[in-house]
Amino acid sequence: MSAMEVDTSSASSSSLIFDSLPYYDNDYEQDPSLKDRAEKLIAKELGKAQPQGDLHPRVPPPTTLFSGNPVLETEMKRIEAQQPFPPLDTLRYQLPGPTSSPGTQEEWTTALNNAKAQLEHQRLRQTNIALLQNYGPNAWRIHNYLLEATSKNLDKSLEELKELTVEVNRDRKNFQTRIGNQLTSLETRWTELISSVLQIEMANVALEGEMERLSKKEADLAAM
Amino acid sequence: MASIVSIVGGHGKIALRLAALLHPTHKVFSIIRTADHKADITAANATPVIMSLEDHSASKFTEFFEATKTDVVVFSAGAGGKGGPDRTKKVDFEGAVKIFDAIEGVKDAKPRLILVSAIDSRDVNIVPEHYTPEDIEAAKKAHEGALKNYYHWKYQADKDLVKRTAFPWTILMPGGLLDDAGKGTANIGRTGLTHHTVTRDDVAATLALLLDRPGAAGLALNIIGGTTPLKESLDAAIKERANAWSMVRIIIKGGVWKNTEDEVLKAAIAKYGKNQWARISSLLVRKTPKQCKARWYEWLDPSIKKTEWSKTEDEKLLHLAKLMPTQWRTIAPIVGRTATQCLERYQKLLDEAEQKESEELGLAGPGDEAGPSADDVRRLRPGEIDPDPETKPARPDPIDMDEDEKEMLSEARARLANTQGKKAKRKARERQLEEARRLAVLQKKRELKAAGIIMRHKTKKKGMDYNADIPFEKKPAPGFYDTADEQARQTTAPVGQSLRRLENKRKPEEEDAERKKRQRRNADGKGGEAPHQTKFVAARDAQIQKLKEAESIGRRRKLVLPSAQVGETELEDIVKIGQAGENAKALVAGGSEAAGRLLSDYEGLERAKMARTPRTAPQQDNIMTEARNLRNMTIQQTPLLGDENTPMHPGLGGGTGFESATPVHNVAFTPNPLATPLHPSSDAISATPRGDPSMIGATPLRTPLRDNLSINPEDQISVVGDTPREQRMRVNSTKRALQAGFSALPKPENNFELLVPEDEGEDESDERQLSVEDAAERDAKLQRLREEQERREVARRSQAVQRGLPRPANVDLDGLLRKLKLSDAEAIAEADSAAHLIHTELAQLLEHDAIAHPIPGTLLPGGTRSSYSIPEDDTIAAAKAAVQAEIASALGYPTANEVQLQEGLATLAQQEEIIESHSWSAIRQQLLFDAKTSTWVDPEELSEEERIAGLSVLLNRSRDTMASEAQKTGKLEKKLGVVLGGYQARSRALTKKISDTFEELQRTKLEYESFSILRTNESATGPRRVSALQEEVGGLERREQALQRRYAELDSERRELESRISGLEDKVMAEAEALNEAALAEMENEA
Repeated sequence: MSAMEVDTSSASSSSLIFDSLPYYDNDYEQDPSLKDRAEKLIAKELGKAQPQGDLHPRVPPPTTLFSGNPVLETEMKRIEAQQPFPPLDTLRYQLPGPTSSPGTQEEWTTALNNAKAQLEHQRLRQTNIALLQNYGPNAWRIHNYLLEATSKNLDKSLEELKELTVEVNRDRKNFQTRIGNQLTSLETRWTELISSVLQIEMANVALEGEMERLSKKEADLAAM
Repeated sequence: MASIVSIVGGHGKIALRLAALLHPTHKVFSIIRTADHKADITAANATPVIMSLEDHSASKFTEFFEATKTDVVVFSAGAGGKGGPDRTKKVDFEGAVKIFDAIEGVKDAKPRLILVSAIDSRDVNIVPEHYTPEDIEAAKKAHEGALKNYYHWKYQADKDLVKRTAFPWTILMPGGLLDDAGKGTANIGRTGLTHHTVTRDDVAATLALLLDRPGAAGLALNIIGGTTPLKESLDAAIKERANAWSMVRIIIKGGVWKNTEDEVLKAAIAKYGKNQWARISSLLVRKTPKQCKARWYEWLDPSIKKTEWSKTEDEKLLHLAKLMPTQWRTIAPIVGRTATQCLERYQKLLDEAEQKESEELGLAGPGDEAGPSADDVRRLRPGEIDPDPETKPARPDPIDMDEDEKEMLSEARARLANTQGKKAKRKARERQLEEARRLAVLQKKRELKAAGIIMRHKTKKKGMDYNADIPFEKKPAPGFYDTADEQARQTTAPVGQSLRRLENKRKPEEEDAERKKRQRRNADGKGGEAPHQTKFVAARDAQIQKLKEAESIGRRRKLVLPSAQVGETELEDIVKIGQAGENAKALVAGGSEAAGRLLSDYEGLERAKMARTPRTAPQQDNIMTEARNLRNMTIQQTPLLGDENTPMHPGLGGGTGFESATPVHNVAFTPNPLATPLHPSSDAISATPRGDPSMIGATPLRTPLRDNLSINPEDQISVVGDTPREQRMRVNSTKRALQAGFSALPKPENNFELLVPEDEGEDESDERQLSVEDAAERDAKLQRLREEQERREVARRSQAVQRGLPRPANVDLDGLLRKLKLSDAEAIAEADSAAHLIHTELAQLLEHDAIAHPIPGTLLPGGTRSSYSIPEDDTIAAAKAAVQAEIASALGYPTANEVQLQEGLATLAQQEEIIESHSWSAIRQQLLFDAKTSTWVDPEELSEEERIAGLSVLLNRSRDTMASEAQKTGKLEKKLGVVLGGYQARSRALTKKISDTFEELQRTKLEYESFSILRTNESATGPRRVSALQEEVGGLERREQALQRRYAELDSERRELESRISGLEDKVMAEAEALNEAALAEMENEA
């Protein structure tokens, strides 16, 4: 008698509840082919559970991001299309002169303005670097410290959760072992009863035959 | 020819026969115990003397021997077995010894002794080699028989006699004595024991013969029956010195020391030390322990001086001999010689003194026929025995050594070379064990170390190591001299070192190897034990050398050098003489020849070249004098005779210097030829005062120095040759010198100069304040003044400088002026010189500022001086006031002050509309850069090309700036990257970790929830499964019960049925039986 049969029997009685006791049932070990069968069943079930068109009514509708911002929108599209980011225009950093060889005054002025802008940018960079030199290490340190704290917290909660899981599993195992013991004894008893019932039935049949023979004999004797 | 014979035990059978034999030629005294035997003695023509060996003392016998002037004593007494073992001892041993003592006690010529002993009297344990087996058997019987006691005491007596050397003796040992008539023949000398009987007549005859044979002294002769005539046999025995005890050699120890013995002794001392003399002497067959010790301390000890006696030693010796007469042992260590050496030296000195005396007295005899010298008298004559051979040099080894000597040498070598005694072996074993243990510990340590356990060496236990440290040690204070060298030297006894280590500092293995090598070499070459010997000797010598060295170091004395003969003062004098002479010469150098001649020649050195070494003052031989004195004292007769006092030889100085506790001795002083005797008193404190003719240390009768110039005025010795005139002269010259000296003193001058400090009248009034100004106050005042000064200085600066407004770094004065004129071309005409002045002033001010307060970018070299003279403060203030007044009047408030004016101006400015195009920022935009002049100019001034050129220049400048800036920034960034790289990496790692952890957390959460659901599920399904199964089991049980019941029913039915069937069957059977019976009965009936 295997758990599978129990399952089927129970499944027939209460359709959705399955009643395996994994810490007690050892059908896999007794019959490795069962595992394949089970996996096949699972795969079949998973195949059935492919997403269908109709979502659960509780699932919220999809949101459209950056609807008001065309730049971000295009960027989002680019990312969705998995396009590489367009290369930055680094030309202006080289402070080019006017394109035409003598160049007009306008062109020269533009070039000069660009140069001034870049110089200003450079100054900003330097300012930033100076700031970074002053405060960078400390800021990084604080950042790292926060990260560390987070990591520690996460580790801790993970540990706790794992412990909880282990606890749950331990409970389950204990419970199942207890139930399993009962089941085992009951099963043994069941087997014994089956065999004894059979024996008694056989004995009854034999006795009935004997009775028949004896009654016939009696009749014979009486007839004599 | 011995004529007087005393026979001890005169009533013996042999004694009586001997007395009878000696009757006519000799006078015989027979000493008997009791008067009963007198008749027998007189019958034998001898004089009976009644003295008992048991009762009379040795001195009685001595008296008797002396009184009778006995030549020979024959001892033939014996207890004869009467009176038990005690009496045997009393007579045969003690009696004999008494006689020996008595003979020794005889004063003049000691009588000879002939002792009648018994054959085979010997040490029982030593069997003479000439004995045959039969002899040995017989001897054994005899010694163990009834005569055991007799033999023992006879032997003891013999042994005692053998040791005595004071008188000659002979032992006659007859065999078994018979009373038969004499045969006149016998076997005398070294004999066996077989056929050992001999007649008493023959023994008596032999004794008679022995009386005339002094050559038999020191022999022990057997006499037994034989065929040789007595006389022949005896003479042969004496000639061969056929000692019966040839095997048991009796050696009189002593005699001259041989070289081999000395060497053995030294080696033995090196091994056994200076205390175990018995052990040492056991190596030397011919020397006793005492003699060995004497040899070492009298001769061999390396510290013994064998050099000539020095004068000091002689002095000491004589002095001490006088103080402690004949106590040589006491004197010896003080003198530093051995006692014997001291004695001998003393005798020699006295002998010399005697000789000298006899010479002086003319007792020596004429010419060469001098009497025997003392040395000759003392020298040993041939045949005489040296009384103390220990103090004599060793006799050199003969080329062919005696057999026994060789034997001794080899035995000593073997014994001394054997360093491996029981103890040494044990020590070696212990050493090995120790080494093994050490190695084991090392190995253990190494293994532990390899295993990572490091065993620290345990610190020594607390407390004191009394073997290493000295409790309460207090080091002596260091002295003046560095004694590090001496301290480093090892003089301590080699305690704790093994003998082996001391001998040769080699390890046993090395030694083994060495030995093997040596053996191999022996096998090749010479062989024998020669190398063995060399090694042994070398080792000993080295050790002895080392010991000596240690001893000598320990006893080293202070080095005493005689004081310098030319002392410091004398040297000074020499120099002084030389210099003084030169000086004197120099004084008269210019004068005539005659003046020079008058001067004494002080050139000491010149003279010294030719000077002979002066003779040392004759020394008095104190020692000889003292020796003669001592001799006189020794030969002096008792003072009781009332003779004159012992004649003493006084020394030159009235004594010999031996009067006090220690002898005084003077060092002979070599006089210095260069020094005039200037300071005799300072030279020698001990010297006698001047005028003493016996002044030691000065050359007598030296040529007197003419010291006319009184160079040495303090020299007041009355030298020989000092005439009264000279004395007078000296006094005069002294006087003159004093007068001259006083006159040479400078005249007193009474002119004083007073120095008065200079007048300071003016300052006095100013400084006449109550108190000095407080320093802090003054400082504060000065500070205030300085600050005021500075403030004024700052105020004098231009407003541009004061407010930090932009201003040109370089000012082109002329260009600026020109430009200003240009721009205000029209105005010049009107405002002519005023504007011009302002412009000039402005330009100059600008230049001044550029110079005095330079800003970055200036082209002026440092230290440039501005030619601009800053106007006076008053002038500026006046100008300002004028400006103020002008503005005020322009505004319409001539009376307004500065603040009001400013407020007013500000309100006016606010009211006015600001025209953008007129502002500097707007104008600045329009200006263009002129590349040529490097200035910003109006665009109108420039052509198109010039404009573009200006722009391009600006662009290029920007590019350059950009390039340098970018480079700088890049560098900074790189540096920052290095600084922050670590943090960034850490941050990345942390981020990754966090994301990983979070993922896992999610997974775990999922798992947890799944398992929780499972648990809920299982908690429901599990019991259900159980109940279902229980139900099933219950059903089955019911069914089983039903079946069981059914079975029981069926069974009961069957039983019923069976019973019924059996009833039926019984019935059938009964019927059948009845039928049968009937049938049977029928049959019977039928039958």
